[in-house]
Amino acid sequence: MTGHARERGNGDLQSVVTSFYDRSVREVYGYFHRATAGDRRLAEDLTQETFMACVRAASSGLADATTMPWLMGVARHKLIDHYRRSSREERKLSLVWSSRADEASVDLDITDTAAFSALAELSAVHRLVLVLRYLDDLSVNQIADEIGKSVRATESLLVRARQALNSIVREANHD
Amino acid sequence: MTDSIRRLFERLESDPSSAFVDSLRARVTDELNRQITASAVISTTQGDIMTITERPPTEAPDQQPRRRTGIVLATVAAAAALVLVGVLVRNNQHDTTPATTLPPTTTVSATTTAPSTTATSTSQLPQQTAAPIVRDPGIFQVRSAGSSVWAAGNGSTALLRIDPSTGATLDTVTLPQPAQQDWMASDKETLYVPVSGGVVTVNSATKRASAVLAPGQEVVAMAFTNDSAWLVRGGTSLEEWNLGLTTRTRSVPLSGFTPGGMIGVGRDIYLATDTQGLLHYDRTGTLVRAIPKVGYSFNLGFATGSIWVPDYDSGELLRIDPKTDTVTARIRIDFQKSHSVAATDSAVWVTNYFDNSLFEVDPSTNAIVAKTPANGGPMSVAAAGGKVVVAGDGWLLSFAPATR
Repeated sequence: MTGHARERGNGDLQSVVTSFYDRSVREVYGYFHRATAGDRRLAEDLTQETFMACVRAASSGLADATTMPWLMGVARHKLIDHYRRSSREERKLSLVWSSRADEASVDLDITDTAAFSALAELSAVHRLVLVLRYLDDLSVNQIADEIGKSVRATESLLVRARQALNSIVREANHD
Repeated sequence: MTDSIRRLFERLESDPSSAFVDSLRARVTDELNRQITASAVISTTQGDIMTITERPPTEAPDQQPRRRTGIVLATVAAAAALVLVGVLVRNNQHDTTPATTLPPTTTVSATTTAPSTTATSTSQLPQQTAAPIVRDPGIFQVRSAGSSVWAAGNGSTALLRIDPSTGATLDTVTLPQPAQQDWMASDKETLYVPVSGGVVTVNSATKRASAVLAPGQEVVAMAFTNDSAWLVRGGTSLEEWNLGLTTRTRSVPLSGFTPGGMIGVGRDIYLATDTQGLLHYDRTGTLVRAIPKVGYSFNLGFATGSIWVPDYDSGELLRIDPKTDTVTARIRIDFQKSHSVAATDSAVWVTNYFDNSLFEVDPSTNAIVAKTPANGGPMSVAAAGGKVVVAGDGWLLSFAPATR
């Protein structure tokens, strides 16, 4: 592309990106708000990072950068990066290769009052795998690929995350 | 169960505030203008070579994110444009980093030397293949100490001394407490293993483990100078100990950032952070300088008189001159998630979690000379015994260096 052609395209690019932003910002923010258990400030930060990436990609000529699948993929990577860091910081990584539990034995009875705080009390890594599994609808194989663990380790991590969630809810209901 | 969890997430539905939406729209527009301006500079000066500007950023979502193979530079003029764009993009990326407060009594000095940016076409590199030499769900990290290579797992008390060629377990040392997820460090023949409540030292010659030393909050980073061991304790303090970890001589409070890797250079130490750049402390624990535009790094290397920083955020391998505290080279590895480094005088190896590969860099040219697919999720890397060993979650692999 020549410089002149690029200049002609700049106006279109601005229009495309800002229009895309207006259409998608609520969905991106909503994803982060759920995935961070209602942490508004963190959701805003991650939303901003996602759109900055979108701008850089779009201005580099990547047409997909203004599509929802691409954007939500970026959002997921931002979320995973955040949790990888906070996991390291919080020292809450599970011992994923230890004994596995029987998923069928876990039963979650969630009340409205316990629901909102339950996810917030989970460790970062547990919340992340639940988000990827139940919010993003990824398969265990896909989650394993995203977080860089073996399928077996990821299965175990999911079981432990569900157990932790169940335990938190049960305690809240007893209180 | 499944539906219950989905409903749980649905209850967290919320809209952003209008103030946030408006503010971010302004930032998006501003960033877009900045990017366009940067592109225009290149267009004006280089004409049609815009087509070889860097591929977009870091994030490559669902569509096979690990397939990137680098950039082919067709002409010398194209290479010049790439360098300029690289610097501009890099600057722009860091412009968006929120400002944070440094600890008191610090002196911050911005560097002014523009580093060289090196981009190598990795598609033309010799590609080795390496099958895992060890598959053990307890493996998490690897570290060399002297001529030995040690592997450990998060939460395991078993510390394995590994033959770097075959993966055979040469010795097994039982730690008094399980190893933590934070990485081991080494000083000559001594291996330092972070465990619950402190650090265990292991002598590579005797293969004996100490009791838990330097008791206290968990140790998240370690570095060694001529006569001291420096520990970052739980992200809240920087402590100086004697090398035997029996006497603490200094404690410096830390705040405002998440610490990453740390390394000793002479009597000074360098600590990677997520928001403050690379922090340079002198032997008294006083912050000498914050080297800006250095992203978060899980560990650091030192060889050929340079500090080597695998930048997790940008994917670059940064080369820093500790005499001037300036970034002298930014070597494009991938677009993000460069994870760990092992540096020697003849070669520097970097694992990249995004591309799932191990890269070898020639320090005499700053060029990438080899790329090796590294199973899934390569993390720590160690060089010993003429081999390079990479650890991921549950495996080790070994290969011969390309540089001799």
